[in-house]
Amino acid sequence: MRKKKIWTPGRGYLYLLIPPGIFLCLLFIWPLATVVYQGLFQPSFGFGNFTTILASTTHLRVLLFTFQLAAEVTVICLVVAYPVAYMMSRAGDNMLHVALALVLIPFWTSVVIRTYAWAALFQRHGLVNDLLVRAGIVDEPVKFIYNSTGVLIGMVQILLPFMILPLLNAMRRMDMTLIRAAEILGANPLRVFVHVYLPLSMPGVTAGVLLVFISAVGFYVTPAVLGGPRQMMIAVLIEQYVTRTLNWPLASALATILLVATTILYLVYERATRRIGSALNMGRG
Amino acid sequence: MNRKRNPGGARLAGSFSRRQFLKSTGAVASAAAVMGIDFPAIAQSKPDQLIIPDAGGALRDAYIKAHYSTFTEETGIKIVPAEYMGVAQLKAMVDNKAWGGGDVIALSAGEAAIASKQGLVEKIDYSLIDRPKMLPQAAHDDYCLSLVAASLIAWNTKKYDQSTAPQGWVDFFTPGKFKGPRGLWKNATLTMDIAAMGAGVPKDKLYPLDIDKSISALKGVRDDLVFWEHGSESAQFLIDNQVDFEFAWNGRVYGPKKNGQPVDYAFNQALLDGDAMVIPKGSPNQYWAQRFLAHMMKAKTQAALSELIPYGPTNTDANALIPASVQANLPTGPDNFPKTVFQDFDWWANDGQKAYDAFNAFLLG
Repeated sequence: MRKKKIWTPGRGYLYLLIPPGIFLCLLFIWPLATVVYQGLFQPSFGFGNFTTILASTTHLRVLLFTFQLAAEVTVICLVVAYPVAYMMSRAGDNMLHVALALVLIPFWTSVVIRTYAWAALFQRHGLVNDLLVRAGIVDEPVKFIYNSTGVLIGMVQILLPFMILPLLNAMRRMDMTLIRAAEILGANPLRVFVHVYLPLSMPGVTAGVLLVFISAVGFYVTPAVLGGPRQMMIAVLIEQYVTRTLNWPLASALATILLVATTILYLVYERATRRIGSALNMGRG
Repeated sequence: MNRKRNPGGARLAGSFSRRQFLKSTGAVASAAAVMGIDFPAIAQSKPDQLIIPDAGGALRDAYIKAHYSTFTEETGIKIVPAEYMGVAQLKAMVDNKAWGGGDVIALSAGEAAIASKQGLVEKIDYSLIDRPKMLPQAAHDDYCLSLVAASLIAWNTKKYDQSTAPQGWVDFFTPGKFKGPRGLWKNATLTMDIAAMGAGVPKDKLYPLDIDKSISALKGVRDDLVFWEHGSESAQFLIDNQVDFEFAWNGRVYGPKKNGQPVDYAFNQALLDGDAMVIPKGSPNQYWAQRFLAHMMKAKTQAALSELIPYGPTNTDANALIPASVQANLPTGPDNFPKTVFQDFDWWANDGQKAYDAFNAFLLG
């Protein structure tokens, strides 16, 4: 006689994973696999597409620039978002709601519109330059856009919510008694911050950094509109191969390289933060 | 079911009556039967509608008035405009035989040449079109331009007028000759062509394109260049005086000039391309698609189009039907056409990749 298996909640949860699992496989893993396949197997099997890309200085420079810009954006976002999230986590309910609205409403506005709004603000005879010239602060309009400055400003503003919200979440869930304990034990504010607060906020930092970096790597519109010719992101090249020269195998190979590079960076980051976390760790978040 | 090969049937919002089903299956069956033969002598059962992806906006409005509604009057087939379909989507459609996206597709001429090279389009039935009357650069075996647009020099009238503005691409690309920021499209196609002219290449010897000359011309004025991505930006650049002069499309600067904005332009050394109509390879609605395409090439409908938007006709018979005042704004007008040169779409389809690579390398500096 077969022994009847006892139904446990654990097994139930496992079955619940099947619908999203199918969804992911069909609509995410399968298309991703076809992209990698195209890069490897067309026009004929081999690494021809990859060698074409890695042998060309243009491609390498664009890849390097993409990651470099994404890193810069991530660092600036972190530095700006951390105090903002801290303030929001300590605010009363009303203040918090207002602050959330200020963060979320731009977040829900289309990226394209925000990009062009920055362009309109910062152009040669735009609002900012007009004010500066009329106030006599500068003689000639300052070149804010069509260079790295414009791209950084635009991308940071657009990606800031991706950093603020995870940080806010981590900070609000923090056990504040640990902070008080550290203060009672005689730590000065700097030590409290470095040894207690920062490690406790690390999960939020990690989530925010990953979200911002990976989003920034794939950005297209903002660098294209606010940047100059030197601010060329990898997405621009991929778009060219897909829509303009119709070289899909090359585009797929380029996308695969981007995927692999980002994954490697993610793994490196994971190991690094785990080490730092365990070194500074004084409690769970 | 035949839903994939049956765009007319699959599109019905409500009931799918037996009559509709029989009608559409009949169309598919006869289409399948005549696929092997060149062009059917027997008329198939008519589809309810043809789906035409086009560029949208003011151009679509003009297409509707000039071409689409007149076709519906003549044949009773409804024309449904759809969102712009680029050559990449066309490739996806043809590779996967996913009909229903478009029956006759408007692409840019350069894209149509690429589509033709990759075998994505059907040969055009020129027995329906008066080919000798079409501009030779417009009527190709696999694609046919429906209008002519010009890429030209436009300027801000507060800085320059017709006599003081850069008179040609050499003026544009000679460092030091005209001071100040100048606008260019951040795309290799069209930009590399005019840069070659800026390096001094005469317009009748433009192709095969001398890429090195284009790049050297671009490098000469690198510091003065301001790049725009979309057509609407180009008009805004002049109006806001972000640049003093620029490369622009005549359709984009005609409107602001007419509305009294400080914008003007000239057709000297203008580069011509246009919208090209193609029929996807293997499309089930080919019989009527060919007839619709031929309808867009008629002199009468093209003349009507040119009166609505400043693009020229590709059927030379249409010129007689357009008044002189309108001709002055068209790239094909008698005063303008001799100064212009057509882009060589086939060169770009075959060798464009090199130009793109060189242009990208130039952008990176």
